[in-house]
Amino acid sequence: MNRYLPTPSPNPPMDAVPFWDWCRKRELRFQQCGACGRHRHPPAPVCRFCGSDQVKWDPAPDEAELFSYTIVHNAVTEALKSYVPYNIAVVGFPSLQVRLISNIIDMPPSSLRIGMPLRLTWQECDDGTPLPLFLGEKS
Amino acid sequence: MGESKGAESRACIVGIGETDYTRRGGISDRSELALACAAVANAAKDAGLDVNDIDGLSSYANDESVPWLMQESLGLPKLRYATMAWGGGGGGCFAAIAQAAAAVESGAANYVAVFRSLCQGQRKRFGQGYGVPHSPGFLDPFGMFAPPFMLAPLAQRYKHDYGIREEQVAEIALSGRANAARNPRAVFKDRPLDLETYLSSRMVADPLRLYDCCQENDGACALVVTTEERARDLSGPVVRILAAGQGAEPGWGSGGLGSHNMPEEDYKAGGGRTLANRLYAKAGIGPEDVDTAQIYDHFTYFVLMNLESFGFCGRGEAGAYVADGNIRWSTGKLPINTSGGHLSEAYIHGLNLAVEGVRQIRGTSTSQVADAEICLLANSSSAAILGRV
Repeated sequence: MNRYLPTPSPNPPMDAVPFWDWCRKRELRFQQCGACGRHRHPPAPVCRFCGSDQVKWDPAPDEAELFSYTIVHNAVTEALKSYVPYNIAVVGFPSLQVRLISNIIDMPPSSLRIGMPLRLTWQECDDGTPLPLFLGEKS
Repeated sequence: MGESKGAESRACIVGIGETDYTRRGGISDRSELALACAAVANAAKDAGLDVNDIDGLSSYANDESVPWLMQESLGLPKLRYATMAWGGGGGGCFAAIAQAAAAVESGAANYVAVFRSLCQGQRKRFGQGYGVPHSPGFLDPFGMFAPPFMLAPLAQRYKHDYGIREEQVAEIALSGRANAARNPRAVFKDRPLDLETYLSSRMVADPLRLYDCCQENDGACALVVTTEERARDLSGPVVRILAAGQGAEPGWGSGGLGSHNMPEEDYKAGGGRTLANRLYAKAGIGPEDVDTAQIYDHFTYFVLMNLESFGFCGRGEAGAYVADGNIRWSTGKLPINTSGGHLSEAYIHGLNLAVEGVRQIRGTSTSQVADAEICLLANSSSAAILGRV
C-alpha cells in the first residue's frame, strides 16, 4: 500500500525516543509507571499520578477505538495537495486510558464513526521508521 | 486583587490603544515591532500618560517585540518589569493582563503596558502550521499541522456527544458578523453573512467550516494597567480588574494543541471550568452578574464550550442557548464578542477582545450593552473579569 501521507518523520524529544525505538521493531508500546502501574502518553519523565520516575514500556492491546477525528480538507504543503481530504484520528485505548494521534488508512471519510473499532498496522515514513497507523476493521 | 487589599492598590485599566487592523498581508509598510510601539504609545496617550511613564511590559504567545527592542524604539527609561505568559498560542492573552495586575499590585511596576503585535503577512501563517511543534513527533507524521486540525477533534467529540447542530453553531459566526457591521475597525465590517452562506461554506477540518475559523490578520493593540490610586490622578475612565488568572484543567497538559490525552469530560469541554470557578470566587460574582462577555473565538465551537464552562448554561446546552437568541446584541441576555470578535473584527490573538471589554465598561462600544457593569474576558486557559469602579 502507498503511504497514507507524505509527512515528516518523527523528531522526538529525549523522553519519547524509546516509543519510536519500539516502533522500529513494529511494536506499539506505551509508557507505564513502574510504581503505580498507570499508563501515560505522550511520554513524560515523571508519573503525574504518583510522582515516580520508574518507567516500563507496556505493549498496547489489540483493541483500540476511534475516540474522535477530523477530515482535513486544507493542504498546508504542496506535497499534501493530492492527499486531501485525509483523516486524523484520535485513537483511544480504553483499557490503558491513553490516546494516540494517528490515521485510519483504509476508510473513506464518510465511513468514520466515533467509537468504531480499529486495528493497528504499520507504514514506513521517509527515514524508515514504521508509523503506527490503523485499519477500520472493514468486514 | 481581592478584598484583602485596599482599594488604593487594586489593579485597573486606564488606557487602550490599537493600530489599524487588516487582513493578513495588509500591512507591509510597517514592521510588527513598529505596530507594537504604536499600540503602546496609543494606549499611553489614551490614559493621559507620557509613554515614558510606562515602566512595565507584558505580552504572551512568544511575541517577538521583545522588551529591549521596545525600549530601543520607545525610550521607556523607567522600564523595570517585563514578562511574558508562556506558550505559542493565544491562551495567554488574559494571563498577560493577570501578570500586569500582579505587578502593579505588588509594586513591581507602576504602569504596565500589555500588548500583542501580529503581522501574519510578514511571517508564517498560523493557519498553515506553527513553527514549533507542541508535541514533537506525535502530530506532524500524521498530518496534524495547524490549529484547526489540532482542535477539530475536540469540536467533533463535543458535537457528537451533545447532538449540537450546525444551525446552532452558525449563530456564533452570524452574531459576530452582525456586530462587526457596526464596528468601523472590523475587517469584515462590510461583509454580511447569512445562514445559507455559512452552511454551504467549505470544510477546513471537519466539523470546522470556513466561517467557523477566525481570520488571519495584521495589527496590534495594547492596554495600560495601573493601581486605582494612580488612576485617580489621570483624567480618563477607569476600568477595574476584578479578577484575572490563568491555568488549564488538571490533566490538561498540552491538550488540544498537543497530547489529546486530557480527561474525557474536559476533552469535550475545552477546559476552563476550574478557572471560571476560581475567578468568579475571586471577583465575588457569578455568571448571572455578567452583562457581556468577550469569548476567545478562534473557532466557533470553543465559544459554545466556554459558555458552558463559564456557567451561562449547562453542559451540552450552549447550542440551544445561542439558538434562542441569548448572545445577540442588543436583545440577548448576554451579548458576546460585541466588536465582531476574532471571526469578524480581527484576530489579534485575544487582546483585541480585552480592548472591546474595556470599551463596554466605559460605555463606548459600537454595540454597547446598556448599563454594562461587568464584562467577562474568557479563554479556556486564561480569563479576566472587568468591572466599573
